Amino acid sequence: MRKRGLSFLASFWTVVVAAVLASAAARAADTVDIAVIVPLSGPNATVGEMIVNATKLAVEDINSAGGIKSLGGAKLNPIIADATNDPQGAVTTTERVLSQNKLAGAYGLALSPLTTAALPAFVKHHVPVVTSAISNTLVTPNNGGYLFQIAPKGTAFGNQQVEFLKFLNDKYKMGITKAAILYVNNPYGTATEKGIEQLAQKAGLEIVLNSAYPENITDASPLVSKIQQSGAQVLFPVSYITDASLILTGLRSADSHVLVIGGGAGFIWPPIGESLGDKVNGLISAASWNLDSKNVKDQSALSGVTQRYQKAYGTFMPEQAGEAYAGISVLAAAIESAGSDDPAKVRDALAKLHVTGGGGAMMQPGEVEFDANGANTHVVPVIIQWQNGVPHTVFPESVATAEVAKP
Amino acid sequence: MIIFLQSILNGLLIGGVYALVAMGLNLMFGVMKLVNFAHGEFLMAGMYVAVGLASLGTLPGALGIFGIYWVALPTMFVMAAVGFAFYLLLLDRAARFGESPQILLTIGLSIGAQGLAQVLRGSSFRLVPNPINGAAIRFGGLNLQLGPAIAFIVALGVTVVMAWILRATRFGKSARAVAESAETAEMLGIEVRRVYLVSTSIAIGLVGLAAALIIPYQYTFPNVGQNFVVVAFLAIVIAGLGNVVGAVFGGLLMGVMQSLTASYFDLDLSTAAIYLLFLAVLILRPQGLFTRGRRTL
Repeated sequence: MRKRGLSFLASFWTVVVAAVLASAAARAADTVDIAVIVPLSGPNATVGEMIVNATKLAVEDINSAGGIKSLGGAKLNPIIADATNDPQGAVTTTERVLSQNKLAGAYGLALSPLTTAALPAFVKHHVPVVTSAISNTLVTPNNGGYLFQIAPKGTAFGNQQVEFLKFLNDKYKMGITKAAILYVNNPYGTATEKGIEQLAQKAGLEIVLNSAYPENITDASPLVSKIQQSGAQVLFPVSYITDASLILTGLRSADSHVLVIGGGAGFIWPPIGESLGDKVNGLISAASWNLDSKNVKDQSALSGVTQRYQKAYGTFMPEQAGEAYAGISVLAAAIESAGSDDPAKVRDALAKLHVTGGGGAMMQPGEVEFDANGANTHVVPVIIQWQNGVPHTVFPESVATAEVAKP
Repeated sequence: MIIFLQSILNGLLIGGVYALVAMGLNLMFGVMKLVNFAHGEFLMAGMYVAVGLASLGTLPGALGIFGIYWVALPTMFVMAAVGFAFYLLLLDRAARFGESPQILLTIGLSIGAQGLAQVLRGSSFRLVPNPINGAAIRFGGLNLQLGPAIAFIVALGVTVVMAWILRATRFGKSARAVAESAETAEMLGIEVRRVYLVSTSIAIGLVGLAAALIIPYQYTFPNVGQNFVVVAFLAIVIAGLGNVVGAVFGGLLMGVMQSLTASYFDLDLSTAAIYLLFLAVLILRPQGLFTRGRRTL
C-alpha cells in the first residue's frame, strides 16, 4: 500500500515538473525578455517616463510586425524597473533585474551617473545595454564591451553648438566673439562643457566665463549677474529643466540680449515650451535627437511614430523618447541578427550591427553602427530652434528641415 | 558697487522664500519639539494646490499682471486645513508613543508624499504661464524680479504678523508657555494639544502661502520641496532652533550668503558656503545667531 502511495506521488510530481518545464519552454519560445531600467522616481523621473512611453510604442511596432522572426516570431517583452535617481539605487535595481531574469539585453539608465555606476553589473552578468547617456567616459576600452551608446558623445554637443554659432555668424553677420559657458556640476554637465570649451577656443571665441553651478538651484540671479558682468555675447548653458527655466526668465527680466544656445535636456523638453508660452519661440539648443530631423520626416513610418506619441501622451515626442524608440529597435535588430536570446550572442551582434532602416533609423542621420568602444559612429547632435511652440531641426544642414530664424 | 548691491538684493529676494518655509518649520520645533521632515512635501503639496487653482484662471481687472496671486489665500487656508488634519490624524496619535515615532512618521510621510504625488500628478514639471514670470523693475542699474520681490515683501509682512501673534495674542502666550515647558503649561490650565493643533495648522498654512508665492516662477514637481527645505533646515539651526522670527533672518542670511559667494567667489561654491556657515555656527554659537540664552519662540 505504502509502495503504491509512493509510486503515485512520484508519478504526480513527474507530471507537474514536466508540465512546468514544458510551459517554461513554450514561454521561452514565445517571448524574449529585455530590461528597461530607467529613473522612474526622484527628480529625473520625467526622463524615465518619456523612455517608457517610447518603449511601449517600439515594442508594439516590433511585435505587430511579427516579433523576432529568427526566433520563430517571439514577442519582445520589456521588463521595466526603476533605477531611482541615485547611483547606488541604480546598481541595486540593475543587479536585481539582471539576477532574477533571463535577459537578451537591456536599454537604459539614461543619465550618465547612473549608467556609470550600473555598468559593472551589466559586464558581470554579460548582458549588453544600449544607452542614451552621453558621457564620453562610458565609451572607452574600460567599459567591458557591454555598453552601446546610441546618443552622441557629450563632447559632440559642444562641437555642434560652436559649429552652429559659426554658421549663424556667417549667415547673419552677428560678430559674436565672446562666449560664456555655464554647466550643471555633474558628469553630463562636465562632459558637455569640455567639448564646448575646446572647440570654442579653436573657433577663435574668447571664453569670458566658464563656470559650474550646483544641481537643484532655486534661484538663477547670481548666474545671470555673472553672465552680464562677463560681457558675453553668447551663452552655452548645460542645464536641466528647472535651471534652464530660471536662467531664461532671469536673463529676460534683466533685459539681457545674450544669445543662448542651450546644451539639450532642459532647453528642449515639452515643459519649457508649456511654461514659457510664446516666449519660448526663437530659443536655440543642441539635442541628441529631434522629431523633425530629415531622417524622421522623410520616412512616413517614423514620422507616424512621432504623431502616435503626440496622440497617446499629449506632448510632442521629446529627445529621450526618440532615442529610446531607436535604442529598443536597435536591440531588437541585434536579437534578430543573433538568432538567439543569449545575451553574449546579442552583444556580438550589436558590435557588428549596421542599421540603415526600421526603427533604428529614427536616430539621425538614419543609420546606426557602433565602434569598438560602443560609440555610435554615425550620430551627430542636432541644433533645434523653437518655432510655433515646437522644436524644429535647423542644423546641421544634412538633417535640418527648417530655416533658422534670426535670434 | 552695483554688483554688490545686486548680489544683496538677489540674496534677500530668494532668502524671503527660505524665510517663509523656515518660519513654519521653526514654529513646529519651538512649540512641539518636532523636526518635521515632511515640511518640504507640504510645500510641494501646496504648490500642486496653487497650480491647480491657478489653472482655473486669473482674476480679471483689479489685480492686473498680479492676477495669479488670487490663489495665495485659498492655498494658505487649504494647507492650514491639511495641517489641522495632519495633527489630529497622525501627529497626535504618534505622540502617544513618544517623540521618535513622530519623527519617523514625518520621514515616512516625506517619502510617501513624493511617491503619491508622482502617482497622482506624474513626474512632469508644471508652471502656469503668467506675466510675473520674468517680469522685473529696473532702477539705478539694479534689477528687481517681481515674483521673488512679492514673496520677499509678503515674508516681511508675515514676520510682523507672527511676531505680533506670538507676543500679543492669547494663543501666542500659550504657545510660548508650551515652548518653555509643556508640563508646566498644562498644570497652569493651558490646553497643550490645542496649542499643538493650532501651531501645526499655522506652520503648514505658512508653507502653503510660500508655495502659492513661488508657483509663478518655479516649476512644480514631486521633489521640489527638497530644493527649499534643506536650506530652510540650515536657516533654523543658524537662527536658533525654535526662534520663529529669527528663522526669517536665518532664511535671509542664507540667501545673501549664497548670492555673495556666487558673485565674488564661485557659483559652484554657493551651496558649500552655507554649509560652512552652518558648521561654524554649530561650533561657535550652537544656540543660534539670533537667540539669546535659552531657546525661545
